[in-house]
Amino acid sequence: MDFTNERPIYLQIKEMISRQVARGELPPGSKMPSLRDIALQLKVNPNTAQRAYRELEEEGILFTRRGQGTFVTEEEPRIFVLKKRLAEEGARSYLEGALALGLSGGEALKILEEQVMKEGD
Amino acid sequence: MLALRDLNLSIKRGFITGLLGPNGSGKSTFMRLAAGQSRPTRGEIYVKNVRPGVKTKGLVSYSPEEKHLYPWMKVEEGVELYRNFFPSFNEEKTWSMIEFMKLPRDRYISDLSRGMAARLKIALSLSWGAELILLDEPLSGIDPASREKIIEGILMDYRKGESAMVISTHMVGEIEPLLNQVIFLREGEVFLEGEPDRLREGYGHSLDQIFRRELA
Repeated sequence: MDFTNERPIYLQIKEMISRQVARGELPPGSKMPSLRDIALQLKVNPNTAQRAYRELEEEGILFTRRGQGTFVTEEEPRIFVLKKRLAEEGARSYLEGALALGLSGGEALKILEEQVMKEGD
Repeated sequence: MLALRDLNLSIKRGFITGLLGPNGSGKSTFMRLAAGQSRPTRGEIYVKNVRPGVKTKGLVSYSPEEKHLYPWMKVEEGVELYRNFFPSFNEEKTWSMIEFMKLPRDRYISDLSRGMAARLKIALSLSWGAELILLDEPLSGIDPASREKIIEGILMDYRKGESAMVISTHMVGEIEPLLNQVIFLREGEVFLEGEPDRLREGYGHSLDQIFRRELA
């Protein structure tokens, strides 16, 4: 993965892992790479990777089993909350984009509804 | 003229410290002082409470920017030299690093490409578990594939909390994500230092952009 060096790298690692969990690319209960391996894979300082893991643990997205490593949460409600949070971020940026085009909130919503009708639920 | 002045800095164990600055900012001077290859005209420098010199030879691995390996040796003879010189030389680790760096062991050092020579330099610098590792411009003038190998080699060697590494460079970009401490030098003085992610957050820029903006 290529990071932009303009934002804290630990945040970018957190976002990357959060997205992978939300999309199911990292399924509930799956084992995360060791800090050493993920640092090598992403070519980042292991301390930076550690910070990302630690904060994701505090947020309940990852957990550690003593002596066994770090795992993705098995609690589905947490993953649902994560999905919702990421979707909200997307929604916010869609809305900002639409408003910047001079559309009203109602019009933006209508476009979104039409898309849902077209693409199916 | 002084190469460094009013310099007050500490290099911490467990950190990969980037010593960043344009040419002539004093990076190499600092490296030579820490390696015990030259002495400060004024002021003091210590490695584990000892002044750099003969006593710190077994603690500090210094990889100078210029070529320092004998061109008439083969790769394996270069390894041999390190084995004889450093009591804590790690046979297994070194050969796996030589292999990882894709260095033919029977090739003459004079016949190595520039990238290969840089890769060999790193492999040997990391071969004996030094507590302080000083890499002076390990990436400059090297092809991208070799740069990647060198970055991976550094990370493979990273021993948590056991050693301190200082990497000097005037090309900040690629190495940024590797660093967890950064010191910007300008005309022999510390211009800025700190934790990279905190600097990125504070400035809203990459270290490279800060570097270009403030030091170029």
